[in-house]
Amino acid sequence: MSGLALGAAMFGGMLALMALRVPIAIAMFIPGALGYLSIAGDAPFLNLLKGIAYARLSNYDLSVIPLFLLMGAFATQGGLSRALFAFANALIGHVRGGIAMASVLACAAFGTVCGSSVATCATVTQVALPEMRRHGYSGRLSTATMAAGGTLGILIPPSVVLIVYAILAEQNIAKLFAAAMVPGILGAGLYLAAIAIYVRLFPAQGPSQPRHSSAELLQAAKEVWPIALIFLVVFGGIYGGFFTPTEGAAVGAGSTFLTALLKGEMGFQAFKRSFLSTAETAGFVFMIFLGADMLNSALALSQMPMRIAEAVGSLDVAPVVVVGLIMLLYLLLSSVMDELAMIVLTIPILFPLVMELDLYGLNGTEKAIWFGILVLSVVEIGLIAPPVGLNVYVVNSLAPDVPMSETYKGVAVFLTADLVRITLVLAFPGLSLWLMRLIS
Amino acid sequence: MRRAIELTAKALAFAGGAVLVAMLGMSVASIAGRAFFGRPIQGDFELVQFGCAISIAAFLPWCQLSRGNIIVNFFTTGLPKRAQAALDAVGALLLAAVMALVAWRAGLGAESVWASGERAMISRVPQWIAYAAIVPPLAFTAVVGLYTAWESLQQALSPKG
Repeated sequence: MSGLALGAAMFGGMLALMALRVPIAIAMFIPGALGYLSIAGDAPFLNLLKGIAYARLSNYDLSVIPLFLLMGAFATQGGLSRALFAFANALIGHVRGGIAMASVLACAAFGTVCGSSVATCATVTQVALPEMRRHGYSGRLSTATMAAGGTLGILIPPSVVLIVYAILAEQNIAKLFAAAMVPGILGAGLYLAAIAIYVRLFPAQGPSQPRHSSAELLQAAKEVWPIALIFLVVFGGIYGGFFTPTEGAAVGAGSTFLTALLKGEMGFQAFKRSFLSTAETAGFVFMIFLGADMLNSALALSQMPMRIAEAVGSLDVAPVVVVGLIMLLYLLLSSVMDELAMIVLTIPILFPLVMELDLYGLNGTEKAIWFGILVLSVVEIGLIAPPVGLNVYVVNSLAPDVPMSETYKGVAVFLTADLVRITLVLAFPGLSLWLMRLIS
Repeated sequence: MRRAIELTAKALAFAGGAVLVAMLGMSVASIAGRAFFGRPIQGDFELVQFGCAISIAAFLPWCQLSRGNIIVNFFTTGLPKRAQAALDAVGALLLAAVMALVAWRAGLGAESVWASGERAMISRVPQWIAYAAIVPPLAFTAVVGLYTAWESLQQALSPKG
């Protein structure tokens, strides 16, 4: 069998296993193992397996993931979302649609200490959704705001998706975090604009409230300054080169724990739950890496990724169109499979291809970083777009009285904002790259 | 049965968490040492690598027991619950087989690192310790895979579905 046919067979086998509910990591591992065996023979295969687990486990950059997960878990279990929402609500809750806007701001702020969108979505929803419903906000607007707002958890650094991308593409995590900052803030700003326009068109869905007193605002501000400080120290330290992302994550996790403890919200049960949720996600991420490592070793032997890159390179289309098509492919894939698995699976194949393209005359690193931000953007859309928007499911489980179809109708408004953001990032690489250039 | 497996998986996850906290403490100490005394902890990067490997390996059994290894259920949502459970049993069985294979080879890998007497560059910690430490949790993940397969099988065979 030719390399290309074997590569295609491995891919087909993987998709078949996935469709049959085999864990994604294993669905990648098994065809990879069989392919490797048939190309290289059993001695090299058994030899590769001796080190495959340890090589991945001991990757220095990988250590960022459990530490940032732990930081997010402490923030979640420690109820930091309540303080953030109270402050944002005191700030802008009075304007029309203001509580929804405050929810978006709380999500964005929570996103600075949490790298997972599902965790952000679930924890902020628990405090913000009842508040919106109590003040007469429609189910459509309030649930859609939470589903979309939750995605700011990964759009704004730290972001588990970006760390995984950094490891796969061998890029600097600090630079990627810096590049994600402006598009993340832009994303939050566009969500606010989307809400403002929406409630102008449908005023009944997000009525205005009396203004909070400045004493209330001051009181709320007292509760959030430690979180702002953590963010400044962690990212100031990472961007300023004072410490590595791993060390920044360690400082962040430690200080988030202390903040939650001082708030009196970190009991022994919450402490234990923080570790178990970290274990669950970190374990899952590693397993996917293990499966993808096996599959990609075999694919590399089959030379399929190289052939695909050559074929695409010889096509007579504009490079930006190729990138646009890759984004479309991601949107399709993300509607059926887990976003993280999708990245781990495709980046080793698509990344070399993108690096071959001439894009706005960017150099290698800039291209890699910019592409990473684009990938993050489509992953984010996959979390709220039908048919399977993970965040929509999360919100739905917390607001069973609002039908999911209502949520999706509201989500359309935010998806429009997302498309505006992606178009801007795609057309103007400088948006994501200027902060990165500034710090390096 | 469930109790013993769950206790072991939880104990491993908490042990992994403890290693993670130790890594966290060491990183903070190293930053402080660098900032205030001009010298970090020697070989701190290597120790983080060891710690990371051990803690994540220790997380794997809990991840499988809590069904954290994500599956694609898009294509099978229309199937009856019992058919889904039967497929899940097969999936968990395959996971057990893969983890058993990986644990077995990682054990042999640890043995050859031990035989070579390799040490980390700066901290001089013998490499085999970390290589060997990941083997028991990997093997136990295979056991948890078998157990979750059995659980799903029971669900597939139960008349209630």
